Amino acid sequence: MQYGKLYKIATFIMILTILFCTPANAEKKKLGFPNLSEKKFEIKRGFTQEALKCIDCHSKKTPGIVAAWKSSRMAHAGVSCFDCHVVKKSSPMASQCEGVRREMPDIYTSPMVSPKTCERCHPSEVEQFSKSAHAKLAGAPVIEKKKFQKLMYYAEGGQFAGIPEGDPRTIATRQSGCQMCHGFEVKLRKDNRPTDDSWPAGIGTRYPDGGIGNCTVCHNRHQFSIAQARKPEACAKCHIGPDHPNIEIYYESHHGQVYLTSGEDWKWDSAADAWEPGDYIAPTCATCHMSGIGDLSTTHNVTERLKWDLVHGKSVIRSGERGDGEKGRELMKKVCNNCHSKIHINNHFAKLDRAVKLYNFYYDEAQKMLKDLKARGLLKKDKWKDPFQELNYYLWHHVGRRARHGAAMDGPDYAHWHGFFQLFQVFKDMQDIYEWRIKNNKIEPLSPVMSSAPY
Amino acid sequence: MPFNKGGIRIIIVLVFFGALLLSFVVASVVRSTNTVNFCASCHEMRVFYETWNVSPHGKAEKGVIKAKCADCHLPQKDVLTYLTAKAFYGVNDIGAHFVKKKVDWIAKWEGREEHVHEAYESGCKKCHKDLTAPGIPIKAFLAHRAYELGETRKTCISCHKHVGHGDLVYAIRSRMKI
Repeated sequence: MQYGKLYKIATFIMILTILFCTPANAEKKKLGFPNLSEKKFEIKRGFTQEALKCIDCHSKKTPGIVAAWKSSRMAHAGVSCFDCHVVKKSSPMASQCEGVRREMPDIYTSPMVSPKTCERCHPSEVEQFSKSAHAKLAGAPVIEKKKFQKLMYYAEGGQFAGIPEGDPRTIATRQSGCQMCHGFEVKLRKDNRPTDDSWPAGIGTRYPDGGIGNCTVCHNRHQFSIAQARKPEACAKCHIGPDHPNIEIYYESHHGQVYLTSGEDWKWDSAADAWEPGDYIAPTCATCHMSGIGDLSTTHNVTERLKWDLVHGKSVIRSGERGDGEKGRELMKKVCNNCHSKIHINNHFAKLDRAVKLYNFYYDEAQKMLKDLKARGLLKKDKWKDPFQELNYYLWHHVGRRARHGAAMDGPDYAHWHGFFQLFQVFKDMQDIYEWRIKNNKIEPLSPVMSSAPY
Repeated sequence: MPFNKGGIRIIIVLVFFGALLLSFVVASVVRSTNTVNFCASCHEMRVFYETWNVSPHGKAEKGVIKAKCADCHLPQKDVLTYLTAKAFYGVNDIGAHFVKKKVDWIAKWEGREEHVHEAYESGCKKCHKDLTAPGIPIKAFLAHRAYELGETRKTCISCHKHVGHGDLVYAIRSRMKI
């Protein structure tokens, strides 16, 4: 009996000892709680030893990135950190993180991945994308155009109000606003990593390796999801707001109504070119502007199916580097054809063409007044202090686009209340200022009106 | 008749053996000028030799075959194009050597200078016959699909830029520093 009791006590103590002495418990004791974010992967197949080292280290250092990646198609296809981020030593973007420097000193990486890398596996997509207004044209205003730079640095950047040229505050508006949609030219520090103001940037980003564009704007990293890019919200990061309320117009349209009420039941991840009506009940931005539907194949040239250039002052039929407008209209009709009758399609485009022509009339008349005032020396040098010139800007850049885009994508509230209803009033104000200046042969002392063309 | 029947026969036999001899000489010259050592004997080619020597097709490890200069840098379609190109580049390169022509390879590599890369697809395809062969990793299958379907104008070296000479730009830059 006594031995039996002793035996039981000894066993109990032994179990307790084992329990409290295991390394897992020692770790728990140190932290006080388990670190749930830390995931240890034991992947044995499909990746090289080097690639596994990246995955292993980053699952601890940046678990969010690895968590997104592991649910991606890239991961399923065996594409890992290594395939996209490793560059040659001579690459202008070659650098090394602490782990790479320690574990694999002959390897160089870059946090930036340009379309030059993506096109190694997706050549057609990058080629189409490069021809679109989403690539070089998107970055042009911020990177190349003097007029835009004066607006970003001198006006918005506060130089006019006393901030000295070159002061870091003068680039704040560019970095937080303009560049996040339009893209910027990545500048490098001495260690080949991007400067703290030039990266990340939007869809027209220009990389030091010569790549132009940013695929991860729509295919957010590190899932690169096709379903995500097909949803209208993927476009809405930039196509939003008073100057081109495209997502708002879409939500207001019948297409958007159907999406908002039943989109959650649609099939979003069908294979590329095989995402057809039936997978969805109404189109999203991607369906009409990009997807393979009916006779049409997928395109990453978002401007390919457009007739009009509806973003600049005068609306003209697309040509040259902006595409082939007449062909674009035919292509877009082919999209509509999948769900609409001929008469429905033709009537829609008759509506759009009429709206564009009405807008163009207002625009042309406004430019005549502007030209006349300029010839008579009745324009202020600083256009942002001159109500006539400010109104002229809002006429095409805000109000005029809302009217045109509202008509193009069937958002009546934007075509009318945010569009033409304001357009005629902005125009009337411009007429009054014009007539006053001609009559008095001088510029009125103060800005009597500064409507930002409410929205 | 200036020749009798016997004379014609002799001429035919002489021409035949002459042609045979010439073809042996040509073949031997083609062969001897096709070696890596011959190409590397000009100092201009030194950096290309050294970078090739440590690249996959130079090291030839893990089942990769040794692809010599002429395997990639001459068209492998038919004998005529092969020999024409060989004669052309032979004369071109010797000429360039003697006039000490300066070439900015880095500018060409980085696309700052107009440049047609003289490595031929037919060279790659002589060995890499099936790019989507069964058993290849799925990522390689997907990456080669557009090429196999003719949907892209990209060539092998558009993507496999470093296959022949590794980090050539780095090698050239380091030599310039020395």
